[in-house]
Amino acid sequence: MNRLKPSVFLAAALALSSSQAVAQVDVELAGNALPQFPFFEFVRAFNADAAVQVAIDPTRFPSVVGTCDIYVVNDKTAAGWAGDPSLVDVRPTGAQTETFVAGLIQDNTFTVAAAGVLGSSAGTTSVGRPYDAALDCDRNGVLSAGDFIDGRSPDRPGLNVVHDITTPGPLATSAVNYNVTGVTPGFESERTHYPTNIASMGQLPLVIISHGNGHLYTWYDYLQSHLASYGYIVMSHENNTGAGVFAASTTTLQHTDAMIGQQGTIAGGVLNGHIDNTRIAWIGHSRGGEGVTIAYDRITDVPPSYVPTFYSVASIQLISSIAPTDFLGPVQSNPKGANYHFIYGAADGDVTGGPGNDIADGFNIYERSEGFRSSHYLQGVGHNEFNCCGFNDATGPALIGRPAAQTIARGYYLAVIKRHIEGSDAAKDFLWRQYERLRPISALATAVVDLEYREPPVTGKFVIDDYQTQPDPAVSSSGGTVTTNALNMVEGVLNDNNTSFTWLASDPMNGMSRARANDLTRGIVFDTGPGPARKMTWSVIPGQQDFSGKTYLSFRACQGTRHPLTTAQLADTSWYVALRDTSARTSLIRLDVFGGGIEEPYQRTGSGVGAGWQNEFETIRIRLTDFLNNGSQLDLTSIASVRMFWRAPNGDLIEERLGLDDLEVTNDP
Amino acid sequence: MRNYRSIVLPALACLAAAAAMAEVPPVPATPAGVEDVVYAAPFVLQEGYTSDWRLERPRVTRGHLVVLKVAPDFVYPRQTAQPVLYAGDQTVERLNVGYPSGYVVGIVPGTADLSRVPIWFGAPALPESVDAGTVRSERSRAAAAGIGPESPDRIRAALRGRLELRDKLDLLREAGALVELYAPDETERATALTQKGR
Repeated sequence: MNRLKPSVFLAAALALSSSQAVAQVDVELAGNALPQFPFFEFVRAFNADAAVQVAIDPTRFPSVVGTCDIYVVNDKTAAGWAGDPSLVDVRPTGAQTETFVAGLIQDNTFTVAAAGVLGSSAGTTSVGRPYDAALDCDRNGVLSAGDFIDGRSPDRPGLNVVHDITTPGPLATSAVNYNVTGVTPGFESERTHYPTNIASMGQLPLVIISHGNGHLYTWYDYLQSHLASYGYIVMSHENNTGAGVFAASTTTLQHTDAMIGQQGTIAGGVLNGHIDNTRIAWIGHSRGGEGVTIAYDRITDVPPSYVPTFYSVASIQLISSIAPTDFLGPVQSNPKGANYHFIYGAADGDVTGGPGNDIADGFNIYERSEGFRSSHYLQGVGHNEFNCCGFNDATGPALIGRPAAQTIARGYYLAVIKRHIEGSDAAKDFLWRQYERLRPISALATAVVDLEYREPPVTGKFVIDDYQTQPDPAVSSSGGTVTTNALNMVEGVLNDNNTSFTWLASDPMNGMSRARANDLTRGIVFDTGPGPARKMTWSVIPGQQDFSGKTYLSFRACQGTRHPLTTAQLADTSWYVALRDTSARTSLIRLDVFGGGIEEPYQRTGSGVGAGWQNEFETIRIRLTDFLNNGSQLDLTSIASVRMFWRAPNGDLIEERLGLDDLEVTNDP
Repeated sequence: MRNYRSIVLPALACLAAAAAMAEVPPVPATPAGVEDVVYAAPFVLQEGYTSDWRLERPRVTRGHLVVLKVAPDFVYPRQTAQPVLYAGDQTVERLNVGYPSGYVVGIVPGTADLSRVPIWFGAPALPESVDAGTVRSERSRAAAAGIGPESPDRIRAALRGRLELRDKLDLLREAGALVELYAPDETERATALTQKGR
């Protein structure tokens, strides 16, 4: 046989794959079964100690009915699938033959890997080992017409199996202390952890840690060594916090320049040529946590008050604050459009988050962030659990202690940095999924951690109501009508306006330690009790009713601290969220089906009568296609309204004091 | 200098107490004087430096390196605003934490005669935000509260010979030795200071 010339063969292969690709269905398959509607959640990250399931809803994909072979294959890119559509199952037992029946999604849910069957990212520097999942319904061992594939388009893995990201990575690390020049006199010292075999590596991202007041730059080994073992150069420096937060921002800026500019001499030049000055993360603690946001503000001001020599604004790919102070307010302590992460303990005895002292309200800075932003708020954790050696100031019940807090911090920090510095797909789940459902494997199961997550407007999301405009509660910020029979609804700045957490009707934003008087972040508070059943409906304006190209319905909510409706039932709360299309078809999902719910405030006392600390927002993201399951007939191309209503599955009323914000329809960048 | 043992033992007792303490002590009322001036060495620098401990960011070429005995709660290492330590018309640049030992090593810029000026804690603030107007106001408050200079005898007893130094790093090394001596619970900080420029 004559051999085809390579170019001819390639063209033929592409033509073949192209024609096949038209007929294959890109669909979410991997996830977890749920006990109630939508009966399945499609997710990207699976911990290595959890099973992996696939499901498909025959009411949405009727062609699946029949016998198909389920494949779990090593991840391929879209181009990879085009070039090689063969299906090679990675499981010891090979492809799995299952019968798909007409019926419901729960009838077509299959466990494809028990815990531990699929290899995880253990032994690699990644968060998650990527796989794709496929249903080979013509059973020809090739991704071809009539098959279903999860992980080709969008071009990212269908699923990722994540090892215990609280444990050290595969790289041995070294640490070195040294002094640099060109910084504020008296603050020259740095301590850097890096992969020991860095000489054989290319350029690595740089993580910089700026400590807090009265702290030392040597107190963050637990975090530095952890990140270094996953392929980062992690420097902690002396920080000029005693003078103040502006002075601290200067040392952060200077040390970033010094580290890069003097790499040829640091530690005998071991880092020389290995610092990627285009990928930098700044982490700051307390005053240093505010300082890193001031530093970013200074290099982005027009004109800038500091001009970096060896890096640029674009180099700062992540800013993270640990329990930051807020001395300088919205004009200067502002991460603006940077990727921003925030971690904070509810038992903080120093930056307390209490009412009446804006400086101690770390969430103020989080609220100002306009870029990708995420938050981890840990109950039972004080200020100095995030370093080795600060005085124990943890105040409140159920303290989890420094080792447990640092285990959680290690895991989440790795995820946050991998997400923003390397674009890790699996890591993103750790930025928003409920702690009760997905957390780093060794993170304390009984800990309470609240997660918030929000994407910036540039991602093309549609904001239904964020309360930043249209101060009339009956009109959403997108211009639609809002109707409700909820009681005592107030729209305003998320700022507790007195010095006490004691519930008073005159302070409707009680517990909202998230803004100064001149901050802009707004939301609503309201009561869902007493009966009758309360509901709230947002009409979707014409022109924005096609949700089919979006991925999630997202919002954040909290319980109102020390309010009688909150204290009457100290537990997570939950309710139903419904979409209604223009043909009056409705589909509803109870939000706690995805784990947890909306947390009751940490039962810390002080700052008035009773127990309960600041309000704890949590972000809920519901996949829009979940509303379509089991023949709901909902038309996502024509959504007329979003409704929330407060009833339990048994019909009981859900009577709560709640806060609500950022109701959005988002993409999934 | 003071007897080493007489300082170390109380400091260790304070450290043990602090280890068991879980709550941040409340910010004490201000103005309040320091308890004692235990060491004061005038210094001159060949090469001055810009101080971040005042809004005006003055150039410092001379002053006093001091050790002050204070009530520890004034210097608990808070992230929120701490009482600002003043000496006459200057803010004191603190070089160690001073908690729980109660001994603060600091720099008093300028040429003030320490026997003629009050040394006290003023209202909580960031030193970098303090300007001359703030100092005047705080000094008036201190005077109204009856806070005056230390006795000349105490200052005389505390005074040491003049330090003629090259730059701030030299000064910090001197300070490191004092931290090691007076605040032995801050060994790591003392070591960091004594190694400046080396």
